[in-house]
Amino acid sequence: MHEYSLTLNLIETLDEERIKNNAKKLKKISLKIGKFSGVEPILIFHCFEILKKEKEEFKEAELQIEIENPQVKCKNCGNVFEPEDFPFICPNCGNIYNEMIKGFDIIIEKIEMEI
Amino acid sequence: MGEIKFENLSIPILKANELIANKLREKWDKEKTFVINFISSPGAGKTSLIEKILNYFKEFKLIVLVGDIETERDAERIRKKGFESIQIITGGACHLEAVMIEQVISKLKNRYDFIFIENVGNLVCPSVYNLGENLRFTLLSVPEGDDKPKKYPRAFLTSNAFIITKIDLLTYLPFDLENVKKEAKEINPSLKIFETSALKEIGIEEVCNFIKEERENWIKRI
Repeated sequence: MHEYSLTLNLIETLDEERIKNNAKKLKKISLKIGKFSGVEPILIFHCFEILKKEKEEFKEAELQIEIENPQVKCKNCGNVFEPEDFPFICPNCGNIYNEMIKGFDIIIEKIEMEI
Repeated sequence: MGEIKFENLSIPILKANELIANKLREKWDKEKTFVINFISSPGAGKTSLIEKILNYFKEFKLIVLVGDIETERDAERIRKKGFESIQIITGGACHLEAVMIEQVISKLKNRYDFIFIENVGNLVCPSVYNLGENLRFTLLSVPEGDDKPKKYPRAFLTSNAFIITKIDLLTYLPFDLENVKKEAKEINPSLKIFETSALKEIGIEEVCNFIKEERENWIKRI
């Protein structure tokens, strides 16, 4: 269960942004979780709900999670496509060697803060 | 009292881990230290495989870092082979993070040709954390079953090699070797696949040759 560690990483990263911007409180956060990130979104949400209570600046924060579909680029023909599942076969040329572009990470997309 | 809003930020939450992993990578590049991260479920045979691999690395300066939730057992096994080993006790954490490696590395006085990192037994969580390694190996043992690659795709997706362990048990267990290799290749077509048995000493030399070749190629590049 690495979602706990990841949520701690999330809170640390958000707090860095808060300090950098001299903000008092975190209000809204939008998180994109890639379908192939190896992370369970509901667990991240629950961990956040528990951990936010420990920090005054996070108590009112609302976390929104969006699942990001994978996007890959064919290493043969350069076609960018959204595969449903493995194997990631390029619909254009049939190649299976691809470069991952999206849907494999956990990304903070939006932050709203009170200053 | 006002509000500020930032959109389209694209900040990865593992940014801090990546920064430390990159720092480790830079240090190891400078010192020409080749690092391998071994990932598998508990009991797939990481320590047994490493013990056998070590027989082919006696001429090198090598250290094994072993991650476990509790006990010093695995590091003791490695030390018995005459190699240095440090146990990283995570105290509950199910994976190693770059910061844990950095803490250990900062205390080491010697330079090494190789660092083997045996991750905490877990096929899910360790695959998310970059430790600055050159190569990542995912192990799967025959008793675990042949349906695992697609159940745990990220480990296979992020690895350079897939090592099937305990193949001496193929005689006793239903395990479709060809299908497991096919599924792993469907996830990651560039995976190098090895069939091994630590107990019967099968396939170990092939793994060692691959490690040494990869290191030589890497040294030429840096």
